[in-house]
Amino acid sequence: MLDSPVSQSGDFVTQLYRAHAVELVRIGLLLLGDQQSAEDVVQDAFLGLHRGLVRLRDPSKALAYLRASVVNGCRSIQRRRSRMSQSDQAAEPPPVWSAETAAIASEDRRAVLAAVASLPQRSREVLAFRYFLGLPDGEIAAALGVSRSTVSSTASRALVTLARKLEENQ
Amino acid sequence: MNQLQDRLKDAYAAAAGTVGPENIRQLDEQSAVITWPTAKPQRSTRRWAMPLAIAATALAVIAATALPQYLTSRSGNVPASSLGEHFVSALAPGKNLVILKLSTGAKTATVTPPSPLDSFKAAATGNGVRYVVAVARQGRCGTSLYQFRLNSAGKPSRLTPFDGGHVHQKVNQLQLSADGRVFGYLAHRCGTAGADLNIVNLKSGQHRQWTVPGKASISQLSLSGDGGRLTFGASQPDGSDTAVYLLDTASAQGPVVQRSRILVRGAQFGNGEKVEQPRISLNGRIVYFTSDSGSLAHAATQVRSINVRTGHLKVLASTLGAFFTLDADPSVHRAISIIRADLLNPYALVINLRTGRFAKLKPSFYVPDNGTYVW
Repeated sequence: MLDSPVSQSGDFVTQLYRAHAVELVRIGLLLLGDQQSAEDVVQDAFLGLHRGLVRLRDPSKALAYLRASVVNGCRSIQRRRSRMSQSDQAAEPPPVWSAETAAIASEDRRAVLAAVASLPQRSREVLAFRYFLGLPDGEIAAALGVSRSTVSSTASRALVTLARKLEENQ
Repeated sequence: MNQLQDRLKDAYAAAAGTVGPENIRQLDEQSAVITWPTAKPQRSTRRWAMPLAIAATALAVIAATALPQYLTSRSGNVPASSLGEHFVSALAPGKNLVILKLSTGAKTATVTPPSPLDSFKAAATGNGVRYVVAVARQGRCGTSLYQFRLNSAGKPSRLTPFDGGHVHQKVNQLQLSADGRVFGYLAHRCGTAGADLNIVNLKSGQHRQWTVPGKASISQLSLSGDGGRLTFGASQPDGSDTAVYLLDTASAQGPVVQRSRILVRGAQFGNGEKVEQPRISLNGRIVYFTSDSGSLAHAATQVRSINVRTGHLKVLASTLGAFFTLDADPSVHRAISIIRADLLNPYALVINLRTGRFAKLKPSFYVPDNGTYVW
């Protein structure tokens, strides 16, 4: 059991936020496409961490918890978007890699990110954790709640599919 | 394949580079500024502090404008109160409209109805300067709309007829968008059951009307800054089956609940839960509302928000046994306030939408004209 009193938990979470919020928002952005949703997911993850802090046996696992929480939050938003898209209730915001936002200058980068966005959800998650965060497969597996071999095979398949999509689009 | 991996890393870095520590909401600024009544146990205080701090940061991007320092509250069945940047109006039931200086509580003016037979029924302002008021005459079913402006000293101009002129219905709720271009009102029909929700574009003169069947009750209108979206609360006449709806004010006329989208239902939060007091943000993307158990024995109230696009719900604040009034700054739409309308020890909290900070407001003053505490 974490022995820090509740009165110190806010400080612990605040320190974690300072150290890792940007990285987590960036991951959220890569998975969701827009910063506002990514920030919402990250804020929720920290809120969840604060609520469950007394149950966290090892504080060093907090970051792993946050990563997993961000992934789950992104999945929830994507499910919601999918439902709303089917019922034609709301238009999606243009993702950061669309030409419309003009946030990314290079056309090649936008093409790569657009191709990644068309991959299955787990593939996108694996690629983002591996090639953006540079995490080893073991940590990716912990964040995504899958086995290490699943991470490895998913990454391989995703790269092959991505190469094919980029070639088709050229 | 290595080349592809390099392209991927490069593309990720470019996308991630659009997010930096300087442009994300910060968490660490929030906790220190939250103060709670000393009567609350310390543990409870800390449990509140972090969710509120996080909620505050979640609100930080909603408005880009500066924030007001004051807000106002309603109590009981007082028809309405509204807020200017420096002045607040309070409707004395059935009588006058008083204008108060927010910093001191001093009354700067009293606006009287055009005739001794008239009374004010509702008031609204979009920017804290231009006010629209609904005036009803004793013994008649109809409403006259007037407007006036406040000068920098809080003195009102003469009442002049508002664009809508006279409405042959009982108007009891008004809304004026922050840009002053869209006017909305809810009017109950004379002699028959039912009501109509009306939206008037003051620039084009276009008037749209949606019907509210007699078996439904809608209330608590709230317009986005440009008047493009309107939220309202709806329920059965007995107050059950509450829901918060969103209406695109350019949508086709017809039954209002069919032309609107349900954002959230009270039943989502449990049996007997009520969702009420929706307030839409200036940009129309976030709707704030309260949910409560409706039970005196197990009273619990939450202030929540819902993202209109994604449906993402958040709990911004929660309390047991207390009573919240949720109010936005209706004149400039710069702040959301969370008000604890405890009659013995009322206090208010403001969420600064620019910085995400909470502030407990200075001691309130009491408006004897309508029995309202004003912060």
